Amino acid sequence: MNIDSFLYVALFLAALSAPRLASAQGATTEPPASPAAAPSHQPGDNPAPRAADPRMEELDQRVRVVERRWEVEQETLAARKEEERKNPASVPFAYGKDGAAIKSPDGKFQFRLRPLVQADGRFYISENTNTFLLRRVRPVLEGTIFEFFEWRIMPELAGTPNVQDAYGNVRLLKEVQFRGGKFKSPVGLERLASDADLPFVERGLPTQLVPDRDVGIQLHGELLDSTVTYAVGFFNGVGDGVNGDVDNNDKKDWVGRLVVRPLQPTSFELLRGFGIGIAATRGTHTGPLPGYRTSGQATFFQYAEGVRGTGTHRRLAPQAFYYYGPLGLFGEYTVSSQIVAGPTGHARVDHKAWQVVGSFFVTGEDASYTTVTPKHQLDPKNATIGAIELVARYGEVHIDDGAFDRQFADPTRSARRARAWAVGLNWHLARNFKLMADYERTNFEGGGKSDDRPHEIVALTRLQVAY
Amino acid sequence: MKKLFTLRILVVALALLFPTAALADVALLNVSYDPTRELYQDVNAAFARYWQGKTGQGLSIKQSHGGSGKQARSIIDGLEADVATLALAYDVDALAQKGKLLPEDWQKRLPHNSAPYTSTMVFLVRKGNPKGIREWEDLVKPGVTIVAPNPKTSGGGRWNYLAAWGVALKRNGGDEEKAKEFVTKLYRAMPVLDTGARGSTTTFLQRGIGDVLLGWENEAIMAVNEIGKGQVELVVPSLSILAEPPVTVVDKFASKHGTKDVAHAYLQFLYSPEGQEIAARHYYRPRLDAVAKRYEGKFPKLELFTIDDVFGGWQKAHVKHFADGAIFDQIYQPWQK
Repeated sequence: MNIDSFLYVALFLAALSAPRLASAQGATTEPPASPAAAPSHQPGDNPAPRAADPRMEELDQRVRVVERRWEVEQETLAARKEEERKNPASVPFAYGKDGAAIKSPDGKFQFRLRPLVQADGRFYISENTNTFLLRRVRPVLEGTIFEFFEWRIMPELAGTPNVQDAYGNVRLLKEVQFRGGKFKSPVGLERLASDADLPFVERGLPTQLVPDRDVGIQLHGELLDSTVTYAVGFFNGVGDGVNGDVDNNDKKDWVGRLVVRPLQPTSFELLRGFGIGIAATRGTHTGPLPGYRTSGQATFFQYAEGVRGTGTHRRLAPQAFYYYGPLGLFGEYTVSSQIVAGPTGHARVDHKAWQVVGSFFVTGEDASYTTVTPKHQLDPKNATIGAIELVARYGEVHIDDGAFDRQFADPTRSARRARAWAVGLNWHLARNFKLMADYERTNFEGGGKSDDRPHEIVALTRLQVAY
Repeated sequence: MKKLFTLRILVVALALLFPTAALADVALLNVSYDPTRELYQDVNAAFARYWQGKTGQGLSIKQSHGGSGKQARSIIDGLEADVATLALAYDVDALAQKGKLLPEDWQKRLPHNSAPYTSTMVFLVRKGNPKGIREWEDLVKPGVTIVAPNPKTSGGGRWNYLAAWGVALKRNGGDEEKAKEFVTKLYRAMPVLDTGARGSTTTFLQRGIGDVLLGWENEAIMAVNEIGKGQVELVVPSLSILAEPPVTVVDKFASKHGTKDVAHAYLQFLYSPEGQEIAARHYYRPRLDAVAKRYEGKFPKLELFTIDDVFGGWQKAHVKHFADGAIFDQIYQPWQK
């Protein structure tokens, strides 16, 4: 017997045997209710004319109330199930645009798997070997513990397996967070962008001069409604473009970065996406020194054998960005100043680099420093193509003339200057799937036996799956 | 060979500089509270025509309706609304504070604290008004059964509750205990609490439950003139609350979808003469003086107090009355007479 039948029987028996129900509510002075007009009927309704007998009228009302409460409960249950179906956040295990996730029922414990795979192609207009390669294969593991404690482990499986990121982050307040482990040093603007969100297949020249990943501790946060972002860190210290796991001296590096979006809180829409920042590092680096490479991964500058870093290494990296609708622009200038020692003695060498990068979504999406979701993903049935992004960049690196004057580098093998321009097209088929194609030309000053090093022209392609 | 390669690359790049899909049609999702279905049906048709004429761009606007609190929670949980047109500012504040979906000073972005129209809470009774309902005090007479939505899920439900509490305070010299006693009796006379205002209208009109429907003025006038014509009557108490349903762009989702400009234009359209005319036709009190004057006779006159006057704003009202374990949870016990 279902609930409706049970209630009908119970109420009918109550009506037959109980005293007049109106007296249980206290006496009323209102005249007997006149027969009310029948309510309007809709298909599926179960209306009935109001009975003249007040007792039957009340019984009728009670039955209707029971029925309606049942309907409301069923509607609420159906809405809850629909919400759970649409919103994976309320489901313990879910797989969606942010990867695979497992969450505790209260949401305080979360585990996420977010793979990144980049399959590249390099095609040179020169003697270099054209090749396909797996550039990055990273099963990114992330988690949250008790809402405030986060962790991340990102191994690299392409090439020589190693650990790229491994850190914990305490996030008691958005304004004050504490991180420890191995992670990106907070310096270069392009370096700090996610590897999955780069406008070009390879990062530009200034990124060669900033640290990659380092091991240390960092205090960081967002202030004034994310208008100001800061980071102050204490790290082992790594060379330009280097990803390091251990230190080779007792001295550690101080790293700081400050970024301001001064017009973000205003209603001046045109300039709300403007931001400016500066980063700096100071430490002591000793030992072998890294070289610098082109986007085609050819080394165009290398210190001579036996030349080593010794003494203070300082960096300064002003940077700026601007996003407005489909247009994105960012630029950075980096100075890497290091005391270098070689056969002729030691001296400070200052290398400088800068670049400007522009992007434009012809399909109208808003450009962003982070992941862009196409308005309409590729879908042949609905004739939608995803998002098309055009990108362009120009950058230069200037090697300190002192590096050659003091014979720290061989001028017939290392260039003094490199100037690179590139154009590219990114096809965002869906949020998690992107195709990229770049064309880049790099010209050099010096670096050849009797003339300039031959320029490099390279076409780079990428197929990316990222969560 | 090298020149040909370079030229091919340049040709592809140039070809792509002339977009063919840049002006694709745009879609908006408006997540609204329960009784605004008919209003936004007409608003959307009018705005789509306006936008097409102004920009040449096709526009489709999808609607979602439900109890205001439920709708706000859905947006926070990931329902990607481009605009939210909810019943009360508190629910939009939740989008800003809990969901971080828009700036906390969102109310300043549009005129009249982002409320393009207003309404109030009135009574809908059976034809002939058999229970003699005239004022709020009549609702708690013995034998009167009231239908209203649940304040925990419905914006209209919260406006009802605050209207009743505010009236009781004003009638009893600010005595909080007397107000609590009155509201307790009121909710004990409600056998069904629907999740939204439209559900309550269904309960009252189509299911024939209750003697009086407590709810939105626009719903009540629509029932008298349209869906319940000849079966129900409108009763306007002498005092009630000024309800100001707000509208806002949901910045995070609108930015993600690239619809910020059209979303902002859509909300500004509500303040235009055409938008205000549509609101008035659907029994929402317009803000624009010229339109308000034309429809003056259609809206009953009564004394109105605001939530700021009596309760000090939505944040204070929510903490005191609607938060978990607050006054409503203390006084309401389901299925009591």
